[in-house]
Amino acid sequence: MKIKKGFAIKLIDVSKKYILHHEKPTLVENIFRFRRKEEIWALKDINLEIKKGEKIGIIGDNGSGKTTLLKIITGITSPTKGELGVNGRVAALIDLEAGFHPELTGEENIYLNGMLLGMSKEEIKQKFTDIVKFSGLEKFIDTPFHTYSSGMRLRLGFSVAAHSNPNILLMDDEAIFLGDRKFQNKIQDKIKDFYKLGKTVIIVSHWLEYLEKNSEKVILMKDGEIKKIGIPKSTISYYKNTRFSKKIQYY
Amino acid sequence: MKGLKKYFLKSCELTLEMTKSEIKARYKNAFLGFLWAFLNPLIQMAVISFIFQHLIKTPIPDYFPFLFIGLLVWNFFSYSLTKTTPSIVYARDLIHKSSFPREAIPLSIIFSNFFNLLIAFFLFLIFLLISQKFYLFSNLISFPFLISSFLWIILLISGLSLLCSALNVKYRDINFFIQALIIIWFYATPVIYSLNILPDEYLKIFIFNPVVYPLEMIRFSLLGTNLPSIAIFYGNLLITLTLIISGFLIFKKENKKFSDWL
Repeated sequence: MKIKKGFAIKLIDVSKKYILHHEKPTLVENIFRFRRKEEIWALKDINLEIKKGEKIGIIGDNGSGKTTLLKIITGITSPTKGELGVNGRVAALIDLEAGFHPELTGEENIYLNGMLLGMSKEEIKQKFTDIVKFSGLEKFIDTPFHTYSSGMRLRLGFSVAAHSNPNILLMDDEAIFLGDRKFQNKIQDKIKDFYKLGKTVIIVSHWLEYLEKNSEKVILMKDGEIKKIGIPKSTISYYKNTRFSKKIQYY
Repeated sequence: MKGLKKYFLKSCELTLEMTKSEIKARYKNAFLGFLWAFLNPLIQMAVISFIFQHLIKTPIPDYFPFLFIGLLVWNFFSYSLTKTTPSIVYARDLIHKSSFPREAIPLSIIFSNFFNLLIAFFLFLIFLLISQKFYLFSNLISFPFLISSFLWIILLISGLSLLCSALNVKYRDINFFIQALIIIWFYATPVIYSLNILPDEYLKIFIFNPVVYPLEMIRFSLLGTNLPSIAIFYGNLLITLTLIISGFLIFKKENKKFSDWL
């Protein structure tokens, strides 16, 4: 499928079905058909076009399909139905601690992790000093990864992913609230850099005030569907109102 | 077509890097380091050869080198298969994080094990040189034989590993099945015994065991033992090709659904 220039991401009638497993799946079960099959549609006929350089926020309750949408865009999982077009390299700042080998040093891990994120060895070599500097782990870079604290691990994970030269950047609350004040400022500076360079940034968050300030368009997800899409202020106030009125109904 | 080539190169680069990481990590804290690759089968050989030379008298000549080659190849094969089968499930975090070429996970395990095999193999060659049981350079044909037999065993284990690791995501009992199978498989492979000492009617069974021919090819090229029958060759080759093709196709198909099942 050819995507016209100017579009970063395009989804046409994308649906995603999950089969709910109550136990670990096994072959024996499958042969004798013990398994109860329960299906869940995590996404239902999503149509979405995101232009290059747009700043997008995604909001919605837990289980509304936000994460599934991110996973489809990054190619971690494929849609059950529909078509997906992505223009450019995607970096997802999710599961930052994954993809490191505990026995290897920070340096060796930067190469391993960078290549898992789609960088070539040459690219990592060029950006190596920047990655180390950004993470603030200069002193520990030749010590084994298992000696790192969880904060250090996340910082290194963020730093590698953020330097992978993406055209499209996806992130969630884990990345925004990462580290201390100082590191959070660094992250915000980095996001601003991405904005300046005209990259597409998609942020999934429950922090509504942040999205209201920092995005151009907010998408509200509900039960696997896009409920509303538009300027941040109206989408967020719509979300707040509907959430609120529902609560009133309960009482 | 261009995209396919790019994907292939990326997959190779990643597999190579993961193989290196695996090797580095394995020997980082070991005192004797790479020597363990050689010591392991040596200890195993000492025990088994003691039993078969002193307790049960074996009729196989030059039992030490015969057994050692068998153990090297078998250890590589069985260790690779038992480690790769659950590898995709164990790499769950990685699979949820990024969409890289997933075949790099089982293949890097195989290549790092093969690196081990090569170390032990070269140390063994030195041993053969010293003990003057060296057959390799006295027979020119044995060198291509040796290389093609290594290639065969790598392709076989790659196909099988892709198949088992992909299926294990969907059916988690494949892992238990492999663990049970590998014990039976050991006795169904001429590691501690030779095909020469078996009655003819049993030899037909080995047609269905694809490890037999490549293993016997290595023994032939180094020790000058005779090769199994042509029927075993064709049978083994056919099963190997079936495993490679089905492994590749099933992995390619299941690959897209890994993150849904983990």
